[in-house]
Amino acid sequence: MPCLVSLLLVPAIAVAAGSQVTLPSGGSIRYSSGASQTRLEISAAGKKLQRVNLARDSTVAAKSLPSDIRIVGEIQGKVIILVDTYPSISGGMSYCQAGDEKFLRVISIAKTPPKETLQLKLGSCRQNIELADPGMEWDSASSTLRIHWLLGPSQKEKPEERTIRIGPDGAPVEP
Amino acid sequence: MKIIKPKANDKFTITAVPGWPSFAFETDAAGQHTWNWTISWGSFKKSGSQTTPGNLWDAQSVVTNLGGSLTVMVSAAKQSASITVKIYGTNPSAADVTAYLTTKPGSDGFDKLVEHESNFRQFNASNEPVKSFDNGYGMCQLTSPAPSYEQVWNWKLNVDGGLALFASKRASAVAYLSQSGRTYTSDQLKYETVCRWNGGAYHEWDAKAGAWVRKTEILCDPATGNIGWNMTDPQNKGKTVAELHKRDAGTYSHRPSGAHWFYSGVCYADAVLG
Repeated sequence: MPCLVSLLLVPAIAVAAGSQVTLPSGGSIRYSSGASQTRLEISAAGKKLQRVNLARDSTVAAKSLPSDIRIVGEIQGKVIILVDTYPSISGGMSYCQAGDEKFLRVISIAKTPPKETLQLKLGSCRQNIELADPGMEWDSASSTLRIHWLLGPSQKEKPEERTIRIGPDGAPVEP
Repeated sequence: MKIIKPKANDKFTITAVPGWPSFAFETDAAGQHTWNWTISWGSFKKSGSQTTPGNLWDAQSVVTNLGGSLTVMVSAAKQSASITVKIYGTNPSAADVTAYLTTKPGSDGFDKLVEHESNFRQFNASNEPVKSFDNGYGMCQLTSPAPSYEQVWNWKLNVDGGLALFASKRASAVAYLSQSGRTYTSDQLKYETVCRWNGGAYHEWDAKAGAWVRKTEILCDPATGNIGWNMTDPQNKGKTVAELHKRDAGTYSHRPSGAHWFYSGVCYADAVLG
């Protein structure tokens, strides 16, 4: 039976506690922030420590730490799929002061250094991007992500759906 | 050659409407005149040139929607002179702004938001545009997209800029509330829009009741504009507002990692709309 993991509706596999998140297959990811990047130190089971820097965008303050990192799925020893969330940069009149910016990342850890093979904006107060209900599902059996936006990133303020199969090297394949 | 009118550093005032007065310039020379003008305020600047057959020129048409320092260099018959005058603003009344907003479709709730945030003030005590620490200008504290010179000095254009952002949040609110064919009231749309302005959704779907309801798990600190607690957090559960406020108020100025309070659009909408 395929294992379906739904983001935002069903509790995610792992939730960041402080500056560290646990991988479902064992190991952990430590994270820090600087120069508009999030730095991950990945200790996957049976692998040496790996480091990768993740770029954010202009909706996130340069020094912001992730307010949340959730592991969406894994291809053990090869690929980690996670969602990192940050407070939005606020504008005048408290615009987006309580908002957040959410990124989906697919990170290939098969080789050193790890490589980010996919980055997608899942949610954004500043850009009016929002997941629908259910928002995202990871089917581990077919290594497939299904994402359903109420307000998608490609078409301004319109629903959007994407199905992305993740290859063993982390490369995204869309039908 | 001398400029007879106006006098150096004369002050001109934009009305609350807003309306720009006549700026009558006159020299003691005869014949064709060329009027080179520059108006600036802070980092904003505009300039241009106009020619008149005689010694009279009204700058009103070129400075409408602008303010600050207006410098005019006039030349005629190989002579020239220059002068600088000042242009200041006048705040509209709350009734002026509210009346203007009633002419704008989809603005329901924006009047309360502007009142809450800037008390309808476009100009400071020196009658110059309000500027916040993060370079937010005017009544709507426009920052991004960066406001134009005109939006900084004309409060109606400033409100239009704020409304454009509000409209995008209203569109998001409509999409959210109408998903799966669900219905909503105009009041729910107003709360959802104002909440999204600050961040996040106000309502959640109550399947049993078949209706949108305010997020039930959020308790707000009425002493703040948008700080609340998630009452499903074991650290908050069962505690009163007074107890939570006493525990957390000392950290409101700088939210520490692992805090059990958060900035909440739900609390913001409650504070703004009541």
